[in-house]
Amino acid sequence: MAAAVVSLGVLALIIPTLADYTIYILNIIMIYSILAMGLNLVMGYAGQISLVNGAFFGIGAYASTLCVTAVGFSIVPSMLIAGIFTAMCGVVIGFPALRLSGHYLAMATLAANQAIQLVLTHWHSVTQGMHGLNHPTVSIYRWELTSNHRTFWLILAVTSALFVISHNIVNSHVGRGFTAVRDSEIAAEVFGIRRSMYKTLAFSLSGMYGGVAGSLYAVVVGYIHPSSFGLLEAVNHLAMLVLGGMGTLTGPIFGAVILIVLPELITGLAGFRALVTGVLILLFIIFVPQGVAGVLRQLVETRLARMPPSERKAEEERP
Amino acid sequence: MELFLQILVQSITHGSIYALIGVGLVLIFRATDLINFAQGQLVMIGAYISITLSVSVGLPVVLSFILTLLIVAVIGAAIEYSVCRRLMRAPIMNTIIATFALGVILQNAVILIYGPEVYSMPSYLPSHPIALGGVIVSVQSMFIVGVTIIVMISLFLFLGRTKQGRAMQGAAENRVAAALMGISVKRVFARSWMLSGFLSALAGQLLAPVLLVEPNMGIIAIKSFSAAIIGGFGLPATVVGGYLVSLLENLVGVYLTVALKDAAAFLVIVLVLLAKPEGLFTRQIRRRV
Amino acid sequence: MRVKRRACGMITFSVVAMLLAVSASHAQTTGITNDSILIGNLNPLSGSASASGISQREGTQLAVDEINAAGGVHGRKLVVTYADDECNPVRGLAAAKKMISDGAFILTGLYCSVVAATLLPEVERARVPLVLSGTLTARTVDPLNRYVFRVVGFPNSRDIAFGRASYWIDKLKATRIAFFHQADELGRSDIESTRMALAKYSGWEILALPINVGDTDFTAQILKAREWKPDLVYMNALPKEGSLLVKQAKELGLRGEYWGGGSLTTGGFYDAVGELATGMLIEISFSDEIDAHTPGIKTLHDKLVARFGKGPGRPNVKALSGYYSFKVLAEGLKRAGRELTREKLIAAMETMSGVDVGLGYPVTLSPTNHEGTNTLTIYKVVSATKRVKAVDITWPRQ
Repeated sequence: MAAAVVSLGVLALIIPTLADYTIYILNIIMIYSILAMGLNLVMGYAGQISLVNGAFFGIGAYASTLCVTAVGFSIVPSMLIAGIFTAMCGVVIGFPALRLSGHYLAMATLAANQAIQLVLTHWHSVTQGMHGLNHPTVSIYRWELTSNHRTFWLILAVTSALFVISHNIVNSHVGRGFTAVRDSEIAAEVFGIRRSMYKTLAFSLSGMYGGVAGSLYAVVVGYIHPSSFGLLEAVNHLAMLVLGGMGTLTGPIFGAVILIVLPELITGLAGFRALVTGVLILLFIIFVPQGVAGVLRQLVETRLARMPPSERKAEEERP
Repeated sequence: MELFLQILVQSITHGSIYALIGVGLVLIFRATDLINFAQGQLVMIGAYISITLSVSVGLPVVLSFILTLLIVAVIGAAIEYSVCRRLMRAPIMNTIIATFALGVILQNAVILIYGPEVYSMPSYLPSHPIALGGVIVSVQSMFIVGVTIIVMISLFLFLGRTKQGRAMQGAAENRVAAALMGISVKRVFARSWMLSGFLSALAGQLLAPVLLVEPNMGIIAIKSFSAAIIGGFGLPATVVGGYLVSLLENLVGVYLTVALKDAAAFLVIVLVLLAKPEGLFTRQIRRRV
Repeated sequence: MRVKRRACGMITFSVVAMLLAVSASHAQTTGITNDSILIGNLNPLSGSASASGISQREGTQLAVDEINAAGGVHGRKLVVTYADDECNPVRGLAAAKKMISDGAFILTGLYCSVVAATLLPEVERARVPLVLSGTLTARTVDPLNRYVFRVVGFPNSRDIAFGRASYWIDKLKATRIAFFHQADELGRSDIESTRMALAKYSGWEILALPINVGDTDFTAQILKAREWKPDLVYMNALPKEGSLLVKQAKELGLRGEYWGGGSLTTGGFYDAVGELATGMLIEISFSDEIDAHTPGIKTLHDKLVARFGKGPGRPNVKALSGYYSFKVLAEGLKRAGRELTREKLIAAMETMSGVDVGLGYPVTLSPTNHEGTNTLTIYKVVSATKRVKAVDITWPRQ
């Protein structure tokens, strides 16, 4: 707890000194880590393949932007509404998941993603279609979010809250239900865990996270367009999980950092980014499927395993 | 009526392409229990290699046609050996992600090597269309349908009548049993990928003069996914599925609105998976777990 | 638990390390030194729009080298940083912000309208001028954004729609127009602008025929049009879809005066369509052929080939607009004088009236109009290898 307060204080000192570009990158990293956290719940913990996350991102962005522009809500209610609405969409998507698994689920979610993107593109009266939507500057009560420096704090608060929520979910009976469904659906059913409920819950959670991320994205980037929420986006989300590590709490964050920061560092290789992303995903999924977080965890566990039992017990029980 | 006939002709042409690619998909699935999300990119590579051989290198048409088929078959086997075999024991999700990533890699590699420009493949057939009644049919269309029919017949004969062919169909069901029966599972895997590569290259070369060759052309494979789903990943059924998808698309496009034409293929996937995941033509219930 | 804290510590450390790497060198100057002007240039250099983006950059590089070889502007050389926006709003905004944080005096370039739309509020907020070398969308100049100038050498798509619509009714006496357009923003704004332009006339009908980018079979739309019996067949699509559309339409026997709009006839169109295109009226406002009507364009064409080589569809109009925009920018910098500020540059650009940088297509800007071009040249396709100029359509400035 004290550590949290201290780090907040340090941040409050550092953040104003950083350039607009740096803060923007931080904001984008946090938004993408929210996306990854949500996808991680459904893919990493519940073991359900979901290629529809890009669409959730888009639904959230549009829902929130429309709340702000068309209805006139302020950003926090709009974000909550977007999260809830997209969660409901997640339930609808989760429904076919009950009967499908593996490849069929992949194809169904892929088709759903494309179909939703088509809706966003062609439903002009609501989404303005290919014209896109501009997101105005918003404020929280009277504090105007005129710059990325200010928006940073909102995003930090939301990201931290969602991280804590996912931590609590994972360590609760819900989380155990998810992993039970992932590891063996038959066994789970035998133990009285209702697969349908957990699968639906997992999809709706990924929907909620995606929706909230979409809302924040609209605030930071200021303009949304259907082309941002298709197959390419789904690949990005997948990359984050594969590189960062599925089924761990910190994996999504590592994944987001790698996905966003790495290309910004290798600015020289213009055409190579997409290719490198694909190669990295392939290499990791074959050789390092547990991702960066998984590797770190293995290192930690190896260290623990090498200690004599008495010391190990002391380590594990330290507060 | 004339409009409908024209739509029919167009649907048969495009349906043949969807069927070819779909069969490639199904072959891999039935042999290795894996869906190749990079199938469209194999088609695209076939088209690009064909152009390189016939236009840049200057080989005679027939030679470059056949060579392309062989090269992509080898590429298919290479993919199977380097990627799929390593993932034989991995969870399904990993194999899906792997072939997905493969598709991304192939597409971007092509953009880097050839540039994102559109290439046009010269058609070696006479280009003036023939009018049959009130319906206009191009020679290329007839070629496509003709080749598809010949290839399909040969394929079904191979799969049904030869030992290797039957092995390919059954290996996915039960690898252990197959191995016990003396079937080299690895060889079956390799063969199915090679055959799938062959079919993809064929589809790509048939497509190339009709469309233009560009890195995104692999997106057509989504229609073949629809076809395979309709067909429950069964072989003759997928072929029928290809024609059905094409017909449905064109009907929607003409009689409803063009904007929904693309959506037709996706809706098909979603509806069929919801209602009858084992495909429209299968009678037995798919294993649920 | 200490293990957990270690993990948190590791995450924080790695994030901070990456951040420091990213934010390493961000000076805060206004981009002007005694002998240089720092300019940021953004184009799609990867992905599906990269052909256009790379061409635009090549044209720009040529112009920058020529300007610097002649001593720069008022003794200052142009120092240009080239970045890739990947035709992606997030990356484009990141690249723009990076350049601004690094002290760019102005931003230039752009091809994708999604990136342009994202940057418009940003340049206004940061008060950094944006001199466009590309983009077709009219939203860059309407509503007026005082920091954004469109000096591309050909008109924006809305102005083009107005110009051609009047020509169709007044000169071609068209009454039934089959309008093939892409089902995306450009296509929709094309047909919407056309309808608005035609509103003041009577006796015309339009049949809207949307086509999807990435589609390969247009039978449905062509047959619909054929049944409708138009006298004018208008097609506007990217070269790939456009070539297929023209080919299939001719093969299916769709008759009428064919009018090829926008970039339909660029990039490999003639290779794909061949003699089927004969008789078409087409709209490229910069000719990308060797028999161009302005000597300055032929010279530029040769220079581009000498430096960057030929390829399928290259050199092309995008290279010309990349070059053209920087020549116009140089003129603006010259007019702003040695005591250079962003505000002075904006004011200087707005003084331009009928300025010709040697390529035809004179530029006129004002405090109320930041769209530089108001002329559309129409060509006629005489054969698969020859186009001749048909007419110049001009319209009054707003």
